[in-house]
Amino acid sequence: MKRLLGLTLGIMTALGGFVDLGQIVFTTQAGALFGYSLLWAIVLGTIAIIVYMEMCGRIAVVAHEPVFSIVRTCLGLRLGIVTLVASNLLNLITCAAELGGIAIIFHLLTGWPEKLLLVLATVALAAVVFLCRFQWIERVFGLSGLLMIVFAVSAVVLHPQWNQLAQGLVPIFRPSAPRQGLLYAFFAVGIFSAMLMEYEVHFYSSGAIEEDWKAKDLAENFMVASFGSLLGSLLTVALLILGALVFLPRHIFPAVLSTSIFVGAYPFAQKALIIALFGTLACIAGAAIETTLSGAYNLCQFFNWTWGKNLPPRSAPIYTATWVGLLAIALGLALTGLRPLELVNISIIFGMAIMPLTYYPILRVAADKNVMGKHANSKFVTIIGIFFLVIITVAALAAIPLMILTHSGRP
Amino acid sequence: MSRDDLRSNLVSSISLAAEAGTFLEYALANRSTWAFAAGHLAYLAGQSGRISQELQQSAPTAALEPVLIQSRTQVNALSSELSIAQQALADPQKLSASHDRIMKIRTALQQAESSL
Repeated sequence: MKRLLGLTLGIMTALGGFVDLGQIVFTTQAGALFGYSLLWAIVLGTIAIIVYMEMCGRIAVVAHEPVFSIVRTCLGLRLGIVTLVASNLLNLITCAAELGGIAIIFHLLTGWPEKLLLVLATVALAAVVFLCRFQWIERVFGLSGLLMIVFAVSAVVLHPQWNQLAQGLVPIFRPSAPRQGLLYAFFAVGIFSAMLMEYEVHFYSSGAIEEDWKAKDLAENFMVASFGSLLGSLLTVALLILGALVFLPRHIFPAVLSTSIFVGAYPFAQKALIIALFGTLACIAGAAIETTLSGAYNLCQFFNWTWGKNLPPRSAPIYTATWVGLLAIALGLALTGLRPLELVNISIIFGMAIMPLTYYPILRVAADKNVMGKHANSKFVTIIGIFFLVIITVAALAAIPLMILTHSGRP
Repeated sequence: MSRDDLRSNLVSSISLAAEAGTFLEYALANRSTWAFAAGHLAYLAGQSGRISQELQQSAPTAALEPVLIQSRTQVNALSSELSIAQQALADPQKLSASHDRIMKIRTALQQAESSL
């Protein structure tokens, strides 16, 4: 039972990480435009996040170093600060978008005014983070996120053509016009980026230290990283299938979050719709918590200040003030009326652009025998890590030009 | 506003009308909750309003003007229809009539797009 509950860190990290507001809408849009042909981007993203999540979990256990501590060591002070500022700006934008998404879902559940719900939900979220220990946060949000399985059930019930789905594993697309090609590339980069958002590895590695993992837990680290990511990946595939089956034939390009939620219950009735709403709520709330706490982890780990969700707030005052402040600023940003989907679109592409600065230090330290000893990467893992780092770098260079050329993926 | 921009707005409007039509069929089958239906239709109406505003503010070339005028009319009609549908959630007959009108708006928007 304890082992099963241990999986919840991986589940919450992955569900909050890549089944968040952005991914839910982005992936259904990709399915609506290109059918199953972007499946390969999901598979690629899944393998990449498993490889890197396992590495940063291993570093946390063996070297007792969370991600932002090694960012400073590897990149130096100047580039490290650039990475810290960029990462925390990204956390702030993403958190604001997720808070907006939470308010939308509560509005769809209750019909109450959205701004009131935005404030109430943020206060409730702050109370949960303040009062609950790290393990309980991950268990509650990780396990309730499993309600998203209704999306996978809907996808299967709608009878996808499995052979066509399998063809999507091959990255071949013949665009009818140059703009189609650009859009395809934009969505491929976006899906890949959303699966590798930096805050996932920050949260996961900090979580491993919060939970006091030891060397004997290393085998579990791989299992936790793989299980959570595969589950998140399965749900992402379900979203792609739903987009392809429900939206593509009707020429619908889902423009609002509620469309992507209702498709999750499309073959069923009201109860499934409510389950889809609660599942989405758990994932988006999980993402809001991950981004908030990641902001505080990043800052304190970079400057070597005391941090820890399980410490009393008085023992880690900067850490506590940072996450509370970040949540408050994100609420202010969300209250300005900026649309969550616009914010999350920016965060996905901006996140991709700065991604190599997070993933390069992880690879470097995980492969370093002086730091990791016998637990350093095998040659095979290092080669896979380099392969994905090259892809991440190419995608990072392409992300912003693609966003400009496609008007943020507008068909 | 260029031809591509106008086409992009029309594609978004056609998609929105199809989205609304699909959802109204779902709601007519009594598969949605009242709060979800009202909220979702309001979000769709908001999106339609944004496209309408973009079309209102655009200055087209002479060749594009007839299509733009037609597009503005249809997008405004879509926004109004989405508001009507919100008010008609408790009345299946009115909701069904609203669905039919939205489908007609969609056809008109498709014709406008094909004339580009």
